[in-house]
Amino acid sequence: MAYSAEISRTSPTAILFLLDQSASMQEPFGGAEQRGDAAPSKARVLADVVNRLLQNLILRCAKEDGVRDYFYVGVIGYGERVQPLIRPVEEYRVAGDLVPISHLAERPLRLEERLKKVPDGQGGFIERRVKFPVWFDPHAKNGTPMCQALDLAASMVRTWIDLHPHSFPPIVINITDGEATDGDPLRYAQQLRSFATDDGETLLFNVHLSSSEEPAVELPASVEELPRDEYAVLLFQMSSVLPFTMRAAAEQEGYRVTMDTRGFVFNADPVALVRFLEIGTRPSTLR
Amino acid sequence: MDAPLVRTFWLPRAGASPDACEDAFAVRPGWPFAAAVADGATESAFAGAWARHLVQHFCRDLPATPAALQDQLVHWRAAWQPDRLGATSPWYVAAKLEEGAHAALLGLVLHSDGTWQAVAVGDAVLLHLRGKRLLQAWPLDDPAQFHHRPALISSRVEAALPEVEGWRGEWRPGDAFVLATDALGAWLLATDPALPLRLPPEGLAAHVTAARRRRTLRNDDVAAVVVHCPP
Repeated sequence: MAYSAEISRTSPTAILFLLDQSASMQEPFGGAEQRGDAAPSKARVLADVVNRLLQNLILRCAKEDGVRDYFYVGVIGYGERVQPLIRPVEEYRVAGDLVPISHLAERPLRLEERLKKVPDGQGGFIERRVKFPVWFDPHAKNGTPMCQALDLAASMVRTWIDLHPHSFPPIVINITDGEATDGDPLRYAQQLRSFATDDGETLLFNVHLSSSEEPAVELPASVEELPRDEYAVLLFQMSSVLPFTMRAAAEQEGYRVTMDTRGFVFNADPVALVRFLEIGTRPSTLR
Repeated sequence: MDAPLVRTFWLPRAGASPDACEDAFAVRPGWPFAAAVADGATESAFAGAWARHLVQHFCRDLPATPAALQDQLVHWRAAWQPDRLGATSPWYVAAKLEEGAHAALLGLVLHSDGTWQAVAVGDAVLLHLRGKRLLQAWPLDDPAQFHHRPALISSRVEAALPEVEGWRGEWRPGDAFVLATDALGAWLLATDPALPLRLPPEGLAAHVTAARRRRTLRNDDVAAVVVHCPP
């Protein structure tokens, strides 16, 4: 069965994030200003969410004796430039510029102190200072060179697969708020998805961040579930069907899923974004 | 009356060293007799130590009902002391310690009057056998029901107490019980629940290793206790 390879230190998998850094990411999420929120920019929210997700991925791999390399991770930003936002040191360059997660754990850009509410054991909460690692900062400028980003992702994924031909295939998560300004991304998406390990083709999931107050369309199984919007249909076509383990994770989160459910969210607010990332980064049980 | 005879078995996942095994078992000989298995969660730190802590305390305190186990968990958590945090510990060690350790637990108590009680959190399996026949299995009896996110016991003092399942019944002379952590339990239910009764540990290990190679048994740590009731 495809997408069933166990994930271990000898058989890791790769997770690659593609983050839209175009100028429109400076704006807040749709509806935020009308609600009178302090309304941080989409770029700020996205950087926070992905930094926190990287932290959680590391914690899933951390044991008392160190961080186990179950995952190789990459983050590509696309806007003013198309470039990896986290970089491996020389010794890892062979892995297609994807960073072993232990290496990521040891080298955040900085550690911030933040206040976190934790249960006090008597039904209330207390604030505690916790360290919040940051690997990259928000950035928003120029257009949306999504095709170039998908092309760079394809070359990184291809190199990584050459080194890990039997692993659970790489997971690529593209998060954007706008249309590509450098061509037709469907062709690039199909090329990216065509690279495969013994266990299946590369998975590409897409999250579209909301610029309107329309409700999010989460994990659709057909185009009929989408608004009448060419761009929504395009991103749907670019997205992979969820493999079994992620369908199970989605069901546990309360979604109704079918064999055709795709890893795609249209008009996501921050809550829908976080919820999807939790599902899309659960390939299978770590061993 | 003679006490039950016991055979224990454990094997780390393929490719891991024996000291990395995060499944644990414990046995209390004599009457009342007790046995327990626990399965430390891969994604928590100190999970193997927490699993050992749970089975040892179960066999010492014998909380044989859900309410008794919940009462005892409060004390077991208070007595849990993983490694201390050093000033130079990396940020993720502090975060893992704050998350706590997690494990599934199954405990069985046999009484000399022919009754038994069991409690469980999570998906470790209890099999009750008579002759070569499986009478019943708890909490799951269908290998397809096992999934990757079972209920677990957290080591954190502030964490909510988990829901505990409890069962009771009667045993007859010559009956047997098998307590097995999830991967082994699911495989026994799918193949031959009486296999551990017939084989010595090294024989069972050979079967487990072969089944892992055929991918009919998930590559996970396994632990089991086989209990033969006195004739």
